[in-house]
Amino acid sequence: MKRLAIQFALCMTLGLTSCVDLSQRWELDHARLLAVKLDVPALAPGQQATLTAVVVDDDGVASEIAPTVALVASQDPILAKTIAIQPGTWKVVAGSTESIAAARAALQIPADQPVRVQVGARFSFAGVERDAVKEVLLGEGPPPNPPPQNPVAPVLLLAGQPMTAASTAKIGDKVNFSFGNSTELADPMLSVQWAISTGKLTKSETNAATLELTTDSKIGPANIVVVIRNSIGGVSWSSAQLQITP
Amino acid sequence: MQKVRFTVSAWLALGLLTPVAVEAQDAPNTPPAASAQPSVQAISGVIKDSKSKQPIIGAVVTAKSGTTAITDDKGAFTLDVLPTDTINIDADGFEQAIAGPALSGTDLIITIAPLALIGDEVVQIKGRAPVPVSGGARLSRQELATVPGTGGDLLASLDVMPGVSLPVGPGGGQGIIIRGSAPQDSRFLLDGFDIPQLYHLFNRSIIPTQAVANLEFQPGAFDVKFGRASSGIISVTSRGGNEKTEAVSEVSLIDAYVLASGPINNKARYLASFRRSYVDAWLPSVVPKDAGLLTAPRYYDGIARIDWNNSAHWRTALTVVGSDDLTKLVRNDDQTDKEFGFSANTGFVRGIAAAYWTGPKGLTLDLGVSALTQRISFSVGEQYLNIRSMAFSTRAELAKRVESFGGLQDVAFRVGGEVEPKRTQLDLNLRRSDSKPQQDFMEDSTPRNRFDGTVNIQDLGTWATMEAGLSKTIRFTAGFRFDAFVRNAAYEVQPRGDITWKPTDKTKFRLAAGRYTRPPEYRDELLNKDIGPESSVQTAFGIEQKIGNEISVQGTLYDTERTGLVKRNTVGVYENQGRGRTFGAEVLATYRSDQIFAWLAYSLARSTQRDTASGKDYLFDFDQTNDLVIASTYKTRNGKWQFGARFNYSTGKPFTPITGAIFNSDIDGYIPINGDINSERFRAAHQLDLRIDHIWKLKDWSLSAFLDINNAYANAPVIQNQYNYDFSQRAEVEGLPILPSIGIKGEL
Repeated sequence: MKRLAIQFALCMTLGLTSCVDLSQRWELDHARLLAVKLDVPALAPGQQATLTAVVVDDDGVASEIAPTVALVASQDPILAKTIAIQPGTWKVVAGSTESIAAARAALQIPADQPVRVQVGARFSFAGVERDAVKEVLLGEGPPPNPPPQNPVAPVLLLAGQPMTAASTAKIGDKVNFSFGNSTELADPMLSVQWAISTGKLTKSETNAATLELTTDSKIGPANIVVVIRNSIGGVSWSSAQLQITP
Repeated sequence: MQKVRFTVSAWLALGLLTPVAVEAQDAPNTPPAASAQPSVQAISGVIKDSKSKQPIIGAVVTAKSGTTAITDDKGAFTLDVLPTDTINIDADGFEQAIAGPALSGTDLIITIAPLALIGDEVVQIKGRAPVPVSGGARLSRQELATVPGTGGDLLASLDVMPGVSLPVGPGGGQGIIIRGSAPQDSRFLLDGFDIPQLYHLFNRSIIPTQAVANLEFQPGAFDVKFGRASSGIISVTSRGGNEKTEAVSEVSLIDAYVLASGPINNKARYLASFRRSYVDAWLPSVVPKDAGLLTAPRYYDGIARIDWNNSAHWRTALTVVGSDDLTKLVRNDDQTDKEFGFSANTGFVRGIAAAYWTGPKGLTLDLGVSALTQRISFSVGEQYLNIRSMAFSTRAELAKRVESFGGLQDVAFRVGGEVEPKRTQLDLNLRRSDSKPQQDFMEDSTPRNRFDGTVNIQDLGTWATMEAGLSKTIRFTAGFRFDAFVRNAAYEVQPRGDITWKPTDKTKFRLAAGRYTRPPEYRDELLNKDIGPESSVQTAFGIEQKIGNEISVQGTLYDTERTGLVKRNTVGVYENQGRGRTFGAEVLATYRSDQIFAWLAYSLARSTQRDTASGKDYLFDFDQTNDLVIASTYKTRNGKWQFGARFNYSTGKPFTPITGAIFNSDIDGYIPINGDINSERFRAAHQLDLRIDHIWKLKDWSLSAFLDINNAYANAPVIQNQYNYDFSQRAEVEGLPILPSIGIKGEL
């Protein structure tokens, strides 16, 4: 909501009358990408990882799909030599120790920092095509860096209780979502994004979001998704359905 | 010898800009006896400068019944008039004036005031000032201050000129767009020195109307005394106090000011004003509390000026002007649950000491020293900009006028110089200023500039020019300016000149051309001392035609070729690799009668740029194809009511559309994909402004009230585009649909 805050500031200071009603990041109102992930986000020389994307359809139903196209997006030819992408399986394969070391030397990357290579991919889903980029980390340095893995998939909680197929909320309610992954919650660099297909969500970029259901909210099943990212590009996600009752 | 002195109030006769004094010598001052058939009679006399008492050559004296004369080399004229005639006196460098009716006699001495009573650089050479080039104008306070839609703000009414617009939206309030150029390409001057900010937010000017003596607007091809600008010049002359004590106070919905002026003793006069806005007093009550508005937009400004007539040869003036704007907002972001802040604070104080010497044999000397302190603080989210500047400026100009020189007539020489050392402390963390993907204000993926240090600038300029007459109808000016931008090791020679042909009293042709430069000192240009100035070659051709006594039409064709434009290269570093061109045509027509003043201004223009010499041309950000202003005011015969209306139509501003976006999963954000640069436009803007003034004249003072409605039929202009988080949706952000302004002004 930073953007809206700025917009408001501009309204006040520059005599604008905007406050335009545009869709928000937390609204699952159209088919879109939520995240691109590798099953191993940081690769050792020769190691490989599978590239996928977390997407939602027009109803906010989330799934994980493979790309239709993927390639190395980094323009630097030295970086481009550090990974390879296998068409069809869409596995990203880290280069040899020598190629990574050559890139590190050429780009003067400190020994305790990973070499970052960007890959680009196209995903087709729900009748749309979307392009995305993601960094692959190579040659992760020694501790105290976080372990090169994705976070554990978040366990969704509704009002502190694990969500089930029977979870409900009614119009007029204000309910809290959170997740119970103790390890991830301890990571100060953890990035969180909640999104839902109905109601008004606040604190959607924190560990605990609040859903407000008004008379404008849709009755019936609502889809909620949370995506969490750690500081090395690791991604995990979870989704659940919530029954909205009158 | 009988002397009778009387004044004609400017307010009583529309078109009269300042009081005019008429002295009748050896002639009866009583009007001739009324008769059924008004008889034509010849009057004659001399037009003189009210300050220097020197005769004014070339002044146009026009009777209301239609006869016209031009003063000769002794300032003398003869004119056939009717007893009921008023006469209009129009001379370059002087306030337009009206005298009469009931003038008679053959030895009239009519004195008219220079454009500024004291300390005006415009009036430099005994009654013949450098006149604005084609397309330019000297604007009268009374006429422009009552232009509908400006709330009585003289400087805010500048956009009635052809090819001029005031930017709104982000970046608004800080500059003015002249002939499709960027605001930083033009300069604002107050009494000859730079003013870093001419407008508050809401485009209210920092100098109250009553504190302005005159406003000289030169959209291009200007005189050699002006430098460090590649587009246009707006030169404001502050007003000195009069011989009579005056007090003015104006209260409107947005702000209020008080102004006082008058004599200190028989040699000194003063003028002082102070203004403060009070939007901050009422806005919080209408804005939701959770909006977090800590300080609503608030501004104040002040100007003080003292003039001394030290001796017959010396005059001095001391002026201090200052301004401060502040807006602060802190609120809790309802999605991140973190505090978010926005603040903008700008302010400056400039002091100017000036001395004017009038010597023997046509010699004059103008001296000025000035100090400026400026502060800019801006922060939004993690981006911030803090600037502290201190500058000391000195300028001097020596002029000499002779009746003939080398076969030329009425020759004037001017030489001058200026020095402006400036020290600027910069602390910034900003997105690069011309990063094209910045359609969304807060996307942080674009390159940043970070700097914390001090930049020292030394700009020096010198100039020389000669103005002379080849004949009685043809005059020319030829000169050059040399600028040294020491920090950038750039040294620029800029030849400039113009030629004027006045085949009849009512027709004037003017051709002007010259080279102009702007040093690379705008925002983050300061971070790179290896770049050079931007330059332009400007050519303008104009025709001025008076039709009868009431209509004046001015047409201008112009072309500006820009080189060395500061653009980023492929790796994001500034270089002088851009080119640009602006060309167009302008028409300005005015109609003045006793009760009606009408104005029509139209501009047809095209402004393009390219990033490299061989690159593809694209429309420049401030290109405006059509700009039309039609304005008129009508005053009732008793002068108590005045009604005004203004209609404005202008082509929408170009913008670069975003045609798609790539998702960057690591930052959970989108990288916009731009279409062709400035390949689309906002919808055209048009609006109607209305104004009503009423004046109550009391014994020792007057009270006036006005209602000024900006955008009367509520057609909100488009200010900018707003995109959603993934650039899949776009909406137009609109400006205020309607803004009424009510004010009361008392004058003592």
